[in-house]
Amino acid sequence: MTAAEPVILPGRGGLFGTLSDVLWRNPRLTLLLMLAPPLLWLGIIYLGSLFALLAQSFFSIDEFSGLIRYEWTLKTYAELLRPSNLDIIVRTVTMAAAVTLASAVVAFPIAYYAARYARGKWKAFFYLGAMLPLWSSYLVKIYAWKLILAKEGILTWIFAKLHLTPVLEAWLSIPVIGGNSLSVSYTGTFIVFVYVWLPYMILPTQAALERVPDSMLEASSDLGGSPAQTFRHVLLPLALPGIIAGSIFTFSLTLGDYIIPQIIGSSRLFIGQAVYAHQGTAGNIPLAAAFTVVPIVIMGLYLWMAKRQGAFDAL
Amino acid sequence: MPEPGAEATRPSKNAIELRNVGKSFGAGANAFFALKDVSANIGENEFFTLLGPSGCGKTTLLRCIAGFEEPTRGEILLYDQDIASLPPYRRPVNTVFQSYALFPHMTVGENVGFGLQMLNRPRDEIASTVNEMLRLVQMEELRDRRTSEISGGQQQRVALARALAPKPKVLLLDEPLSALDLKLRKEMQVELKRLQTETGITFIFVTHDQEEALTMSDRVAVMNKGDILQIGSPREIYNQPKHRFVADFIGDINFLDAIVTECGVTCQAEIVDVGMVEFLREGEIAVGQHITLAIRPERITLSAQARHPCRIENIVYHGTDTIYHLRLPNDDRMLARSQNSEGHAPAWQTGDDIGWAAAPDALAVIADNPS
Ligand SMILES: Nc1ncnc2c1ncn2[C@@H]1O[C@H](COP(=O)(O)OP(=O)(O)OP(=O)(O)O)[C@@H](O)[C@H]1O
Ligand SMILES: [Mg+2]
Repeated sequence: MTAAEPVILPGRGGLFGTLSDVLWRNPRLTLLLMLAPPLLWLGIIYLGSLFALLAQSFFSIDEFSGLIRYEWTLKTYAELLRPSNLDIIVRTVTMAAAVTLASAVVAFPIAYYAARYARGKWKAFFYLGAMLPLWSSYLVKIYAWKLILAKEGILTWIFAKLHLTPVLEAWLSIPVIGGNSLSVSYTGTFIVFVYVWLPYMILPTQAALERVPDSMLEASSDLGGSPAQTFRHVLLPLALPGIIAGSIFTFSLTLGDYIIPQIIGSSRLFIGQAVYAHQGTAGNIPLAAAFTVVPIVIMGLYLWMAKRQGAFDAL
Repeated sequence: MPEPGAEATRPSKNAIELRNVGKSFGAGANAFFALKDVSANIGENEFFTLLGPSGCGKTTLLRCIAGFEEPTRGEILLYDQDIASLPPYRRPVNTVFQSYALFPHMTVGENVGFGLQMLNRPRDEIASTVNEMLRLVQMEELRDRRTSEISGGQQQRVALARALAPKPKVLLLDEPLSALDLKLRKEMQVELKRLQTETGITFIFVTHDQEEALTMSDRVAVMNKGDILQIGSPREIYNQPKHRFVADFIGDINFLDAIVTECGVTCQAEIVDVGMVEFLREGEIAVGQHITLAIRPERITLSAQARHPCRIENIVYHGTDTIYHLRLPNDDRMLARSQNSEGHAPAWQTGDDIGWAAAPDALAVIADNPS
């Protein structure tokens, strides 16, 4: 240390100076410190309650006393597979699949327009239009739809004005999906589900489409791909991660919802309603827990299949 | 040097014919003509290069030929058929994009086979063509890699193989080498030229690198501001530039303003305060006309005894050659370049008065329309 001027800049000194030196030299430590609080939160509050719930599903209820027996058993799951409960599951999964499919089909052109054509104020308008439904109260929207779909509602009126009443009646007379009016049929439930979850499909699809460069589509067209082929072989695969992300929302939200089918639809239960009923008035927490396990398992299977099909390859 | 058979060696058949092609963006008063009035004939099996500065409309012209843009006016003929309104997927023309535009969700092999797949060719034909193409660009081992897992130069080759696989009539290449480093670029230049000869496909190659254009092309079209200024063999473009812009864009050049004094088989012109020079007759030239003559620095011979006097202002050593910055008696500057050969370096120094001379065929007459 004979140099008159030090070659290396001196440390900043003080507690913070030392600390920042240490953190800079140990990026892993920095990462750990940053991630620890949220991870703890996730771990304890979220996963903890999830496992508590899972554990509950392996208990059973004493038929005579109505009390929970804290012994490991698969009895509750056997109960879950009873025809009446299986019906609920099949009904919910079918609805969720239909809602997801319809959302994807409706969302794609909107997202495509927004990603590839809309600029400036039209883009702002798109974001506003896509998000607006998320800002108003969920219950208000559903009651609004109840009025729209009611027998005396505007939709019936429009059909009458267009002289299409027979079409509506024919539709409503179809056994499962029909009913007295749209507001008490599965068709009504379906429409409202699609409406309410649509933004969750549009936004990720739009984000994925936005990332597909024009040159990709031009290359396909250049190599002889007709618009249909380009869609099938280039656009869709590249947008698929976004569509899958959206479908995770629409699918799981539909699987778990218990308010929409309560207000609009027939009196037959969906999973969410079953959970609500069992943990509430019936006091059958184990069965309620077993019901909640179903969407988790289904979503797990769904993601696994999507991955196997290469849905995330373009990521 | 005018190449004697330059035009005669051109193939008789035209692969692409551009007739007064214009393309404007925007409408009304804001309309901007990216292409003004472009006409050219591109022969079968030709390596044709579009050369020009950034923004001159090279990409726009390629996009019109590929079908991504519809020309505002004019016709584009492919083997005598008008294709101007045909969608890209119905044109037997493929593009190598500047950004390569490889499909990220496919392997190298799938990318190369894409064009054939779109044409619904049988599976085994696709497989064999893919292998053949990958062999052509020396990428066989990487067939099952993802396109994100290969280097830039390799991506470039894949893009090339992909565009070649459907055996297009014409291949369009939009600055395909600009993203590569110098060494790889030189290698790929040779490779591209080899591929073009081997496949016999017409190449339309875009570049803004004049050296690349001169070394690779059969013919070069120099573009500026939406127009083609001159089309010719690399030699013609270099030695007989017709426009000041063409002359200036390609390498160093000296311009000399002169007045024609005599015109027979060869012509004489006087450069005021410098003297008389002799040049070859080129088009309509009248006695008394003001003209601009252009001469390349390496076509100027310097010697102590040469006819026209000049003074050395600066000497710059360039390894293989030396560049002399000269001042003429009329106060114009001039560049001269002489090759450095062992033991022959003249012992001139800055400030020396020497002389220069030029052979008649070294002087090109420039149409005086600065654009
Ligand atoms: N879609 C467009 N809308 C408006 N102007 C455009 C459009 N495409 C190109 N231009 C304009 O047309 C002119 C020519 O563009 P072009 O891309 O053909 O240039 P280029 O010769 O390929 O340049 P570079 O060497 O930089 O690639 C430019 O001034 C450009 O701004
Ligand atoms: Mg360009």
